[in-house]
Amino acid sequence: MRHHVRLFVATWAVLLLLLGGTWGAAMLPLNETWSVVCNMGFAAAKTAIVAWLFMHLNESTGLTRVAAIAAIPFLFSLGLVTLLDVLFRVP
Amino acid sequence: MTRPLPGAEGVAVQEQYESADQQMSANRLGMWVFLASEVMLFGGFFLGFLVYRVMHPQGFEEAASHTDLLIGTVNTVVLLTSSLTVALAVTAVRHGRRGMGIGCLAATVGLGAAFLALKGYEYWKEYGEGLMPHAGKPFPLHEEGTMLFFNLYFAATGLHAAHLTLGIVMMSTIAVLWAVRGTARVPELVESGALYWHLIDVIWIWLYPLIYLAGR
Repeated sequence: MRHHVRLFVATWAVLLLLLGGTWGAAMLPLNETWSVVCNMGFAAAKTAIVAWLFMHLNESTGLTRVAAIAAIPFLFSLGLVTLLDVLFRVP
Repeated sequence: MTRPLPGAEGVAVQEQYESADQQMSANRLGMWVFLASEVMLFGGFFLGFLVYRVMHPQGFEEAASHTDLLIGTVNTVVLLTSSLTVALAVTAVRHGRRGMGIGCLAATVGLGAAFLALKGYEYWKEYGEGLMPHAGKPFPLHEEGTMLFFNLYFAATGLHAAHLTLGIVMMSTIAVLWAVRGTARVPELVESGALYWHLIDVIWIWLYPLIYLAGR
């Protein structure tokens, strides 16, 4: 049990570091696209860590893991088609 | 199921399942399917933020600079810590550690309540500055897209706070059940409740950069 407690506390510390990274990257003078990419990248990293370790996907069956990531392709399709519309509008 | 599923040890097997493993696996799968539906719900908000940011970049950056970055960041730390405490509660229930488990659940609930308190203070501040659209005060920003940003902000964080409130009620109930009634279904309740709590945290992990960090 001590192993799990140490693992979770270490995970929490890494998440706080990533939060610091998110905040730090936001303070950098990046152009708008890079700023969004950076923000989303840090958020994705934190989510992956929370899902794999805190939410026990590392010890779940394959089927559960598939269910866990099932929404992502749908959101991606929704986002892609919407942005294709918005980004190519002629003013 | 070739290897035993961690967490299946203390489970009271219900009659429709052949083994504790199968029951835990079904619990987790069902919970994740529900969480996927919640991700789709909030995904709509995230897409809204992204699309309107693309359409009104100056307006969004100006509006985002009027959010309280300190409160937002502190709230993120609060929720990340509450994820730690709820994960520790799951560890405790797996090892039959009642005192530690109930204490961790109480800490989780306390941190969730702290988040809501900070959010409430933040909303009150924003109301005072007139940033709450249609709340009776003139909106102070005039760039196109600023009011839209704040509409999205209040809707998304309001829905998140509603989910968090439900999470608090749920985790409190589980803690009380564990304290008074013993451990028949408690291991599964704690594991499933913890999965919901982590999702609330994950949603905030995405809301934080979209709201507070745009254009800093």
